[in-house]
Amino acid sequence: MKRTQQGDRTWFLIHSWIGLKLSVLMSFVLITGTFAVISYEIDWLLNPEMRAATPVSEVASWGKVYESLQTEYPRATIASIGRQEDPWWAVEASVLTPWGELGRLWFDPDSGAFQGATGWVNVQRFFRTTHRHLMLPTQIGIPIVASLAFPLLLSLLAGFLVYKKFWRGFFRWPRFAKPVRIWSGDLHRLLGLWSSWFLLLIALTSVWYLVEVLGGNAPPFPEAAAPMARDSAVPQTLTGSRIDAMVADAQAALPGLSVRRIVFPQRPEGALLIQGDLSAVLVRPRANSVAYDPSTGSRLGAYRGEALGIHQRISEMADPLHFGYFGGLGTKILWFLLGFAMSALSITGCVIYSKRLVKHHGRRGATAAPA
Amino acid sequence: MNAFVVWWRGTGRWGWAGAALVGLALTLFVALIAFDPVSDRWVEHGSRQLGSVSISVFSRGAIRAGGTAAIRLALDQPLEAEIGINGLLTNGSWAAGEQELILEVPEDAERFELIVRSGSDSASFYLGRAVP
Repeated sequence: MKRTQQGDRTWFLIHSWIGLKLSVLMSFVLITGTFAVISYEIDWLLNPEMRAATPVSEVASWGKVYESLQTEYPRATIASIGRQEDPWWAVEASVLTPWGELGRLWFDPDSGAFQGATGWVNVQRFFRTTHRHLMLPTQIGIPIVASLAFPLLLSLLAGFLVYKKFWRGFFRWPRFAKPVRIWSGDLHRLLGLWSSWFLLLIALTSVWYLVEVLGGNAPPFPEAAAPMARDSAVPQTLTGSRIDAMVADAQAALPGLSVRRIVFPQRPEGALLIQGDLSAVLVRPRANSVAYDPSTGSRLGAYRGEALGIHQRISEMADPLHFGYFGGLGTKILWFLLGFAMSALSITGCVIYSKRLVKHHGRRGATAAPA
Repeated sequence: MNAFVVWWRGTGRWGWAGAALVGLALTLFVALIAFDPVSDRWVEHGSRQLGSVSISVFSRGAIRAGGTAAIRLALDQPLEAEIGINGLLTNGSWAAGEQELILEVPEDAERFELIVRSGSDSASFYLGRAVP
């Protein structure tokens, strides 16, 4: 009995030590990660250019978008043209101005008309970069952030070990009428129980990110045949109608492909890639891809998500699971709420600790005063 | 004792380390906004023939409406000409060879075009368009 109590005490100390000592960094990473989930939507609310003038489920003509881009920003280097999956999104082109400044151009998905430009730095970049690598070089920042997964896992385990008969707590509403220390403890336990699976998922995907940055990243996607030699990355002969023809061909090569992105070559020997959603679950659009020679429009190769190896599938799975975008806005909102719960766990843990200590000091003070 | 102070003292050195990383991340992000992450190299905008004079134009750094643009001209002969961005022209004599000049960019400009005008001849160089 005594040994069990001592064990509980040890696990409790581990749980509170991790929660307290790492609270500053952990809370920051959790809060920025929570908002990173809906950061695209925050930008969408803030910038009218990002809203589709005519909401449609599929982009009517990627070629028209390309032509509008060429008219509006003729000397810009195009990195990609893509679109979020919901119909209310405008088509986004990532470009580089002649003097090397990154920007985003927005087009109506129906007519291809130019809607406006926004800078590269936005709300999404803030939450994404501060959450992912604390704005540090990725080789330093990602290991720091991803390493938090280990104390998180240990804290989760310790939490369950010290919470006796935890299954009874799933429907125990916090006693908000009681002092802060009591209700914050109740809330901490309730949120901890409901978000425990999510916490495990986030910690495991973070461990994967750590593995990736330390060299365990998945092998590259299947190589396409080499395109014809040319002088520039994007040939002058590339037109909107050729892009539309390539999109149609990509949909014939991968029947059912919902095109989400066109990646433009950045080198004269590079291929143009048409990527999108198909039948494989929990993959990014790049997992279904068709490569083209931008000079001739001929198909160089194609692959689909199902054809990827297990290592590649794990790598593809990490982002949709970590950010919760695999089910559209619904799962994003759920992930945001769960992220909010995780952030609240970190904060309520600190409240419990400090209130407990304040009370302890108060008692000691009261006992000491008469003496 | 104040609960916040109790918590902060409880975090100890780990708290300072975490706060330093958070502070660094926020500072770096502010720096990213404050200082344009633009390449410092000269960007070529092409060559034109103005009468018998061959002109090549380069620019360096971002070009923004209401600001100034660093331009480099490469001439194979001396030139008397008006040079400017969009309608904002400056008259001058330009020696053969390379020379750098700072030109004003009109406030209302959306697309930037460098114009070189000498007598009835003129040449224009499309420099680009800024993103906000």
